[in-house]
Amino acid sequence: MVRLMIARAGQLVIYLTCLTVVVFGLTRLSGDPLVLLLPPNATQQDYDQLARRMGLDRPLVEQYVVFARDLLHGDIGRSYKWGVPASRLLLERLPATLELAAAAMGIATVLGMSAGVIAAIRPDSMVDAVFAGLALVGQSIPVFWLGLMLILVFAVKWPVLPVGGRGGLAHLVLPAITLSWYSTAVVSRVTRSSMIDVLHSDYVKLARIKGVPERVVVLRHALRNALVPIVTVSSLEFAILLSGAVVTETVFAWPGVGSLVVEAVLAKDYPVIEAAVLLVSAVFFTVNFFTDLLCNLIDPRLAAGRTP
Amino acid sequence: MNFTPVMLRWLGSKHVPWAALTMGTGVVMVAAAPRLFAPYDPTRIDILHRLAPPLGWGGNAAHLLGTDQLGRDVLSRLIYGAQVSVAVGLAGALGAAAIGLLLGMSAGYFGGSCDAAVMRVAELILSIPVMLLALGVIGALGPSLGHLLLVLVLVSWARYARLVRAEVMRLRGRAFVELARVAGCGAIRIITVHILPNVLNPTLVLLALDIGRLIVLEASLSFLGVGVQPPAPSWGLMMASGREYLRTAWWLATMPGLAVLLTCLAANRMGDWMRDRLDPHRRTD
Repeated sequence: MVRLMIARAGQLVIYLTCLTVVVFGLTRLSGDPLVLLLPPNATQQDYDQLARRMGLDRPLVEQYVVFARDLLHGDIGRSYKWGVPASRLLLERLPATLELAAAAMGIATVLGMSAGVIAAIRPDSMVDAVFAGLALVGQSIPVFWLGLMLILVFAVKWPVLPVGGRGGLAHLVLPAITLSWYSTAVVSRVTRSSMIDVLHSDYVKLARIKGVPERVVVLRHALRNALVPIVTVSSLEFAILLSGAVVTETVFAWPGVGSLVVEAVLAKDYPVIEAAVLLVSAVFFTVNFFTDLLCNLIDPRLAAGRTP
Repeated sequence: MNFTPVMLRWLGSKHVPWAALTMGTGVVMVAAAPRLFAPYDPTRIDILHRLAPPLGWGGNAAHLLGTDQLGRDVLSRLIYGAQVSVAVGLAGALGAAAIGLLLGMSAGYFGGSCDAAVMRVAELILSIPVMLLALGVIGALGPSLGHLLLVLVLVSWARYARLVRAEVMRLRGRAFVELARVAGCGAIRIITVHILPNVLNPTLVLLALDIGRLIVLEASLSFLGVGVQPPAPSWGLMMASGREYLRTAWWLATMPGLAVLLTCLAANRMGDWMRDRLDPHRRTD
C-alpha cells in the first residue's frame, strides 16, 4: 500500500510537470506578449530592451526553466487586466467553485446512487424505464440551457429562488442542481449496471438463502461490493463537473474560477488563463490521486495487483 | 463493399429507434439545404414584428416559433443554425476519429517508444477538463470557427486513440496478422488491409456517440462567446442573446436549447443502437 502510494505520487509529479510544459507552450502559442505590453509607438530599441528585461531573448528551454522556477514560488505573472498576481485572483475565486462542485457532487452521488439501486432491484420495470429515459435526457441536455430553464421556471415564472451571485444556501440550490444533472445521470447508469452484476453473484444468493432481510442484502452485501466502479466513475465525473462549472458559473454569475476564466479569455488576460488551467487541472489530478487510494481501501485486491 | 443489404437488414430488425432516426435525418437534411426549409432570410430584420411569441402563445402562423429582439424569424435562424451545429459536430468527430485511428493504430502496432509517446500525450489530454483545455487554446489563439474546430478535434482524438490502440494490441497477436506477416506483408499493408477493417466498428460507435457531445460542446463554447462568432446563426449564440430576454421573451432561449437537446438525444440514441448492433460484447449498461 505504501509502495503503491509512492508510485502514484511519482506519477502525479510527472503529470504536473508535463502540464506546466503544456501551459508554457500555450503561452508561446498566444503570440508575442511584448506586442500587448508595449505602446503602439514603441521603437525596435524599446522592444529589444523589454525583451531582454523579461528574458524573452533567451533560448526557449531557459525560458521554461525560469517559468517553472517562478511557478514553484507561486508566481505565474500578473493579470493584464487587474494588475494583481494571477494566483491571488484565482485563490480568491477557488472556494466558490469548490463549494459549487462539492454541492453538485453530493447531489449527483446521493440521487444517482439511489436511482441506480432502485432501478437495479427491479430491472426492466416501469421505474427502471423512467430512470433510463431521464438518464438519456440528462446526458444530452446542454448544462447552460438547463440553467436557463431553471431560472425561467423558479425565478421568472414562480419567483421562489434567488439567481445570480453567491450568498446563503438558497443561492446555491439552482446552480448546484444544474451542475449535478449530467453527473447524476452517469452515476445512476453505472450504479445500476454494477449492482445488477453483483446481485447475480453467489454470495448475494447465499445471503438470501440464509434468510438475510432483502434490505440488508441490497445495502450491505451488494452495494458495498458494487462501489469500486461507482467511485472510479464519480472521480472521472469530477473533470466533467469542473468543465460544467465554467458554463454554470457564467449562467448564474457565480463568482468562481470558471466565470473568471471566461472573463479572462474574452479580455485576452493570458496569465490568468494559464494559472486557471494549471490550478484546475492540478485540483483534478489530486482528486484522482485520492480516488485511486480510496478504491484500494475499498477493495484490497486492487492494491495487491489482482483483478477482482 | 455493398452497404444496401446491410442497411435493409438493420432496419428490419427489432428495436429500431425510429423517432431518433427520423429526427437525425431531418436535422441533417435541414442543415444540408437550409434555403429550402427556412421560411425567411435568417438575417432579415423586421423591427415592427419584434419579439412576436410562438404560435399557441399568442403568436400567429407567420412566425411559428416567434421572432427575436430584431424581428428575425426564430424558426429560420434555428434552421440555419443547424448547419453550423451539424457541420461542426460531424467535422470535429470525423477529424478526431481520423487522427485517433492513425495514432492509435501506430501505437498499438509498433508498441515501444511510439506507443509510450502517443499514450502519455493522450492521457495528459484526457486528464485536463475539456472546457478548460478548450478555453486555454482558444484564449491563446483567439476565437474563430477554424480554431473552434481545431479545439474540438484536439480534445476528442485521445479517446479514439486509446480505444483503437487497445483493439490493435488484442489483434496483433492473432493468427491472421501473424500469417500476413509471414506471407511478407509490410507494416503499412498489415495495418490498412488486415487491422483497419477490424477496428472500424468500435470507432464508428464512438463516433456516433461523440457527435452529440461535440454539438453540445460547440453550443457551450458559442454560448460563452468563444465559439462561433456573430452574426452567424448558431444555436449557442442564439441562447446567449436570448438570455437577456428571459423575462420578456422566454422562447428566444428555449427554442435553440430544445433543438440542441433533440439533436443530441437523437444522435446518442442512434449511437446506443449502433453499439448494440455492431458490438455485442459492449452492450448498453
